Amino acid sequence: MIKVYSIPDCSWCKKVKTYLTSKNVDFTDINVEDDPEGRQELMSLSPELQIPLVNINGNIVVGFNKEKLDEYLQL
Amino acid sequence: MDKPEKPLDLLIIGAGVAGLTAGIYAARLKLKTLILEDEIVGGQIQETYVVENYPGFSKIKGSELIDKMHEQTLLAGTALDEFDKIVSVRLTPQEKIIETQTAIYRPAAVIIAAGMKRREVPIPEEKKFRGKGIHYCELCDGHMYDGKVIAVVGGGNSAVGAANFLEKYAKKLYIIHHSDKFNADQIAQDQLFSNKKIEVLWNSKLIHGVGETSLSSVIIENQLTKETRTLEVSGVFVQIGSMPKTDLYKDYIRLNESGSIVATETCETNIPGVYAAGDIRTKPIRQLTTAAADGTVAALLAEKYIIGLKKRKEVIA
Repeated sequence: MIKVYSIPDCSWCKKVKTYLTSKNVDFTDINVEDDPEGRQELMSLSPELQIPLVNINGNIVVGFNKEKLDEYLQL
Repeated sequence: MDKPEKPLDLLIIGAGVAGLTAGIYAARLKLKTLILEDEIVGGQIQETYVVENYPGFSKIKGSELIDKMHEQTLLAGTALDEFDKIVSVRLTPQEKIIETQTAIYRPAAVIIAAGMKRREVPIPEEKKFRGKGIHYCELCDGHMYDGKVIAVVGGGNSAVGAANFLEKYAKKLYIIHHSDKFNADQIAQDQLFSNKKIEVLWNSKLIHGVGETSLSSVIIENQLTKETRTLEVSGVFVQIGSMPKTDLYKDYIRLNESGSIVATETCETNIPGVYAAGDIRTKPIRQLTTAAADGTVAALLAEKYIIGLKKRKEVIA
């Protein structure tokens, strides 16, 4: 299960989602601005109060980090 | 594995307003063109809450304006790669070689439109608290501070705009500014001064961040009296200006003392066939409109250069 925690106006969130889509990776997008439960989930995953955050089966990637995404997704 | 070598007419470095405009013109000139962007398409404007000074749009979100330019560039026929990263360049009158993580490009001409990068707040604890109280993108991270006391550092349009955007989340918001006046549009200042939640701390400098795992307070110093004071804030948003992204080119391209590429209204640099467009070059006014103008000029002159180069090669052959 791959989850992306994001908000619509965040440019780095868009970049992460565009990258995952370009690699045909299915993911669930959680808009933490409108989803209080999603925001709590996000805050429990990382001490960094930053988005985008990608949870790849328990492996956490904060920000757009292509090398980490490729490693965890085995691209 | 060897990287593939890819010929191009024109390589544009940076997909901000200058780079995208150059891409639109280059496509219309039938140049085989690629734009490389290793950060955000649109650059700084992508994170601008509202744009009110770009002709044709009385009021538009920065991200919407950029999305339109991005779409127009792709529709025109210019390719854009936002996931590859330049690792080295060689820019001489005889050859232009740009090596990325995945390919080697040998374009006939290059337009450098890489823009600016944000300045980091110069305090010893910046790395410790980055993302844990110190932030650079209010649009991305502001919502994390709903109901909290926060601060903005800076005094230009970006700082005042950030404060005006963040006040909807903040219980209280301080602006920490080293001077005794802002360097921001009067309309934005009027909006800020009319908001009772916002308190401006003039002549003040952020000198330390304090906290265990995340930021809980900051120490500021009054620049006139040198007195220090602790502010209980859980988040600080930094908007203290930017500097040109020119490190990659400094061995080949003439820079001024601030690191900007030395170029005039023609966008020509000291290397024939290499142009500098937008905020990255020496210029008195940095606006969206002047960036678009630079993209136009650079693409049109790059085409003339490429045509001349092809003619010279034909004569030699």
